[in-house]
Amino acid sequence: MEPELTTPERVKKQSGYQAVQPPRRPAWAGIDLDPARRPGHLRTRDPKPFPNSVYPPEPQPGEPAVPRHNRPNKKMPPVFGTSTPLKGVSGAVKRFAYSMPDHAPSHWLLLMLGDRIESWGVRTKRALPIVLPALAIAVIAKALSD
Amino acid sequence: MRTYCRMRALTYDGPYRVAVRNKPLPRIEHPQDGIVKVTAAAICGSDLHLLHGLVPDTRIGFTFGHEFVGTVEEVGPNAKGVKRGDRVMLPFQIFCGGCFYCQRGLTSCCESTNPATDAACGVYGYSHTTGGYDGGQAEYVRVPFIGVDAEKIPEDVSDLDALPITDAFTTGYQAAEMCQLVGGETVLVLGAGPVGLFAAWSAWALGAGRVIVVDKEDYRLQFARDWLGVETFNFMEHDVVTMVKGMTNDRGADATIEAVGCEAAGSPFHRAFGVVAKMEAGSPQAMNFAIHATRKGGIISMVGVYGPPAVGVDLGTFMNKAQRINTGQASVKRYMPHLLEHVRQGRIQPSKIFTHKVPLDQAPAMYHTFAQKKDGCIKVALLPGNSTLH
Repeated sequence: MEPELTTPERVKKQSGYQAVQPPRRPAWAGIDLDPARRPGHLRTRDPKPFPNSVYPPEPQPGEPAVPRHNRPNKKMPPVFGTSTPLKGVSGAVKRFAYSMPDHAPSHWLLLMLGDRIESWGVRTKRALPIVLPALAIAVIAKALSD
Repeated sequence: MRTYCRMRALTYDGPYRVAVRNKPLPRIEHPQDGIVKVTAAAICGSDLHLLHGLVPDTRIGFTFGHEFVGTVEEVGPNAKGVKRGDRVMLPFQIFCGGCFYCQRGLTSCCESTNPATDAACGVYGYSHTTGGYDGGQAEYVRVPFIGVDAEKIPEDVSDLDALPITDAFTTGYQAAEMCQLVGGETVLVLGAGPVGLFAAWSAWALGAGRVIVVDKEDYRLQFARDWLGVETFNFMEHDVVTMVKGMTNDRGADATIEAVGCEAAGSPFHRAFGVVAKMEAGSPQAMNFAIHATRKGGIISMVGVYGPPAVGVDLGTFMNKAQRINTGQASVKRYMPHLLEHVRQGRIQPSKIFTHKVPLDQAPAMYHTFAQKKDGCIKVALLPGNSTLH
């Protein structure tokens, strides 16, 4: 079916609204109208592996940065990221969060809590070299003035 | 061959803070891995959700960046199909190519790459919720399943034209494809950021009769009008729903593409409650606009990014209006050859959206320029200092 061309007159007639700029359909408009030209049509295709795939992949050695969430019937995926492993108090909170399944809201809210603890911890640690000497100077200055 | 052991990389420093620091070089961790030397990486609008602390388990020291192109530096023993020196672009998601979903073309649902959750597959540089893989806003990046995932860039396509195909262009194209256009429909695009602009381009290509783009930044609307010839209006000046209904016989758009995500403006309540106080996973206002501005029986195509926790969406109206919602991360690999054809035929020059091209070390300042929509910024390309653009 040939797409209906929209004209500024039609826009105005339909709505009374004057477009900021009359629409300009590009020359190639409708080039992918035919579903056969659309890569995602049909969305689920007949099963076939991608070129160069080796399946199942062998398990990656090492520790994942994400502890497995608590779903007993789900296998650990064979490949994972190892960036920035969990540590400290925020790590403990997140480990607890990952002990809950990912369909539980508390799983996500505890992860967000862990994020806030981590960022405030880092900010506090970075501020201490400035805040502590400043406090010491203030205390000494107050003692001297007394 | 790499002769040193550290590289420059963007690192997360907590909400609203990023820095470029030295990090250890990535290494082959799995036989199907490869290492790519990044020639250009983009800042995506969804990176701002990470920057603003809205995505769970975003750890300090983590490197962002899921849109990048580069050259293959090293290849693992079981990675087939690529060799050192190949110019490649990588889909933003990491997929194995052989699991239940990959075999059916849904690479964005791969079962092999994310231990954290079933909600997504592995994604480069997108928090530990998507697997904990460092991203490409760095000099080098580890690429799992490089033989399957990498797409070679044709000689006549530049790095910056290939870069948006790794995410923004493909996401926009799939968003328009999910509108199931048969020709002549009115398509409303919420958001004139990079994904919204590419969605508007794609809506024309897929047969829309009319494309309306809505944003709150006049310079972006101007860009949309100049580049794509679409109709536009600013939703800070006109109510979205009233305006769209007024333009469409009081019915609403046939299809709406939600290309905004969890930091939408337009509702002071949701901005305060979700974005500022972080009491919900951002603001769902763009979805609410979409539900009300789409006609009954229409389609909402949702590609804006939301964190996993709940947000307040007007589901009652959605159900009563008998609408359909199509969603999904783009299965990028499937679209790459088709979109490369559009680029090579001269129908689109994706690099036009890069208003800012800067060295990697300027990334922190660029994040804030992009987030605050200053300096006419539409999209930023980061160029690591040790590479040469093609």
